[in-house]
Amino acid sequence: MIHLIILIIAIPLFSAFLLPLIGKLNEKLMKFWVGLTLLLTSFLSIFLYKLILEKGILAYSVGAKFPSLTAPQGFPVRIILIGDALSGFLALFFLFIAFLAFLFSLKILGGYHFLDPVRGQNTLAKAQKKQALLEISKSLTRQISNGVDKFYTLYLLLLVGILGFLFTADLFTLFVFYEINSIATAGLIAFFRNKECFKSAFHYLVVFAVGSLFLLFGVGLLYSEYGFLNMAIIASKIHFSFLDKVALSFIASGLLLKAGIFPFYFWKPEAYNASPVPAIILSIVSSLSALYVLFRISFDVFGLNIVFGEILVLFSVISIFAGVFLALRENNLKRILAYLAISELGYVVLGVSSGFLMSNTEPGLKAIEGGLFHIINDILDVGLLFLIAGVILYISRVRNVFEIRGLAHKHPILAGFFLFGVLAISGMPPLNGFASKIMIYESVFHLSPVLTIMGILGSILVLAVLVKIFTSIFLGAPSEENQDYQPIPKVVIAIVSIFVILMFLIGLFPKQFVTSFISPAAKALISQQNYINSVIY
Amino acid sequence: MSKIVKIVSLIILNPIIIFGLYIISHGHLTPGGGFQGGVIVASVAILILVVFGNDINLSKNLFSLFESLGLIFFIILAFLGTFKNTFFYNFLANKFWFLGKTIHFGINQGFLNSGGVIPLMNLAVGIEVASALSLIAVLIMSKKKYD
Amino acid sequence: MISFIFLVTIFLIIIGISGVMFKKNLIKIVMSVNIIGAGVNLFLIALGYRSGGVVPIFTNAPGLNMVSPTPQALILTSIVINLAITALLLSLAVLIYKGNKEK
Repeated sequence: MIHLIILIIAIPLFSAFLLPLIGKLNEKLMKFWVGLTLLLTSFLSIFLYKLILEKGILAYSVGAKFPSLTAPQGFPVRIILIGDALSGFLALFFLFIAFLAFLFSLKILGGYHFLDPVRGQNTLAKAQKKQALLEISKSLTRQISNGVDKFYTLYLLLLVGILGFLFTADLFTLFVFYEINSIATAGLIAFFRNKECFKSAFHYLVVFAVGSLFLLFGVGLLYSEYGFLNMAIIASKIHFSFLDKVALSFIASGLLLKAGIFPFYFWKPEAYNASPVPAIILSIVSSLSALYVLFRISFDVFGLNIVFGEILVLFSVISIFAGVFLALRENNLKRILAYLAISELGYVVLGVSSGFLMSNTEPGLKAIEGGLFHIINDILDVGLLFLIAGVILYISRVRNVFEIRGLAHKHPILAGFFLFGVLAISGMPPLNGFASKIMIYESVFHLSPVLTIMGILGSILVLAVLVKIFTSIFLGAPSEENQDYQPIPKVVIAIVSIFVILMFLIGLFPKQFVTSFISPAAKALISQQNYINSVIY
Repeated sequence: MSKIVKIVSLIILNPIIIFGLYIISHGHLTPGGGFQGGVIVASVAILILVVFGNDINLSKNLFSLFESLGLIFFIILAFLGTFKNTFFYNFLANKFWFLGKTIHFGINQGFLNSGGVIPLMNLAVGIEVASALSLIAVLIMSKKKYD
Repeated sequence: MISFIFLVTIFLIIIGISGVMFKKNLIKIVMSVNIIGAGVNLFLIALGYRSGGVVPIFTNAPGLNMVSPTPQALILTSIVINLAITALLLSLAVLIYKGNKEK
């Protein structure tokens, strides 16, 4: 049935509103409620994806049965939600990842690394140190568990924002969901309540307030010229005047700010350093959904004949290198992984924007498919690395991760998973990073061979950075403090292994994956006329 | 604050709340609506906090409860029209049993009985905004240590 | 020549952006974000103006020549969202201050 599109957005919203009341009653009931919501929404998204594959593009108008039912005179000013193959598939995948991250957050919220006064005192005996660590961990757990209902409320609101980004067909609902995302993420960044987290959250929110106001300014410019806010209707009426180009640059800067590409990536390291690990995974997902909206606007609203693609290719190549080079100077594991996330997003934009430039040719379609495929692999790889970083910080509670030595002796499974993550993110053959990166390299070669060389160089440098981390944390003789570390909960190992299994599956059977999921999505992205026809008929 | 300020603020509390409720309830006829009226009702809480300061304890749990109730009421009203028509469908309009008197298009003198779901949504938003802003004011001005 | 109100809008936005970039006091940064918000809202309302129009409300209206109501709905949402952001920024500023004071 057609109400599925709005139910996917409305059900997490409803449970996010109910959550403070339930949280006051009982904590276990609240966690069960969140898990039930996520499970129900994931099932609904499976049905929605099947419905979209049968019927093509679905357009759902909020408030009336057809988009054209309106007041006595005038055009429909209804809010319309559009789901097509790309957004249906991304919604399915993102909900699955959100469910896994929620299961992870039941045990580990990741990141006690700011508070560790014991390690500085060398005069305490070992038993006293262990006792003191246990007390700190107890008081920390008490402090964190007092705010856990707010964590899940913000988590669900961020999920609502991501799903709204995926299904919006209206420039103003885009702005509203952008703001929901920013406010929810700012709340999640300030979750561990110490001064550095508050400073990071303040910085993040100021940056995003200004960014969203720029987005609104661009939307206002487009509205002033055409009188409509609906993306499909603007697409049918557009003529590329100078005002359109200015509006596109404003909207694109707002969306690139959320995604974290070249001139606008400066907020990422502090934000990812300060927030809990499941929130980081949802932030990566929200950056990718902002990229999806950018592609939707540039392909389907502005059409395929604009200079914008060249600028995007330039920005993506610079961000691939900027991510890697800036990661070399850092000492903090989460910051390094944040820079690597910037670099991987550069690959996505490289693929899709070169497909934009080489439109209507065979390598162009393959480049778009490679870029969209890399979205999936990017979340899996970088998500896996962040999860393992969260586990390391949980069990060791150090401030500087590079003091740990020889973790592989006690936790060999964790070391193995980290090694798989390192190989996947740098594009080694049996894993999934190779499949999408080879598609990008081959198709970008037809645009310019220099881009392929830069892509390969970027992958090699990513491997260099990560191998350094791997050898310093996991290999070598174990230090004496390793015995004090807490054991890893079994659920966490199960969740991390689901990520690894998915990575292997996608890596070993990439062709089936691409033809069944990504090709319909890529075709749905480029066909502008289909998009317009779903609203105006 | 001096005694005159305290007594006058206690006297002027009630007309401010009534004025806020007037703006909430006439949202479909005159400028205003849920958000604007809610802010006016929330300014009462700020007035009390500024005048009385530490002598009065405004309870945070009550505000939190009303905020959640307002939000839940809003989204239940949105869901109620879903399975017959679409989400957010105005299922009370043009039916004339509660709020749905049919008004002709054009200039009229404003009938309170019209608008369908809109006055109810205004009420929900008004309750929610009033409690949320009062809660924010109580939390910012609290004298507790860094928690 | 561009109409006067759009020049005022651009002026407000430039003041706001320079405030965010160059000021170090947290409250001044929050105020600059509000000024940018005011500028963008003014821009959106000014788009809807029809000359000789009245407020677009049917209750006791003097005539049927009204300004466009769509931008007014847009800026209503925008003002609410900016209020929420300002509230969050100010509470974060108060918490940073309390953290600084404690030392």
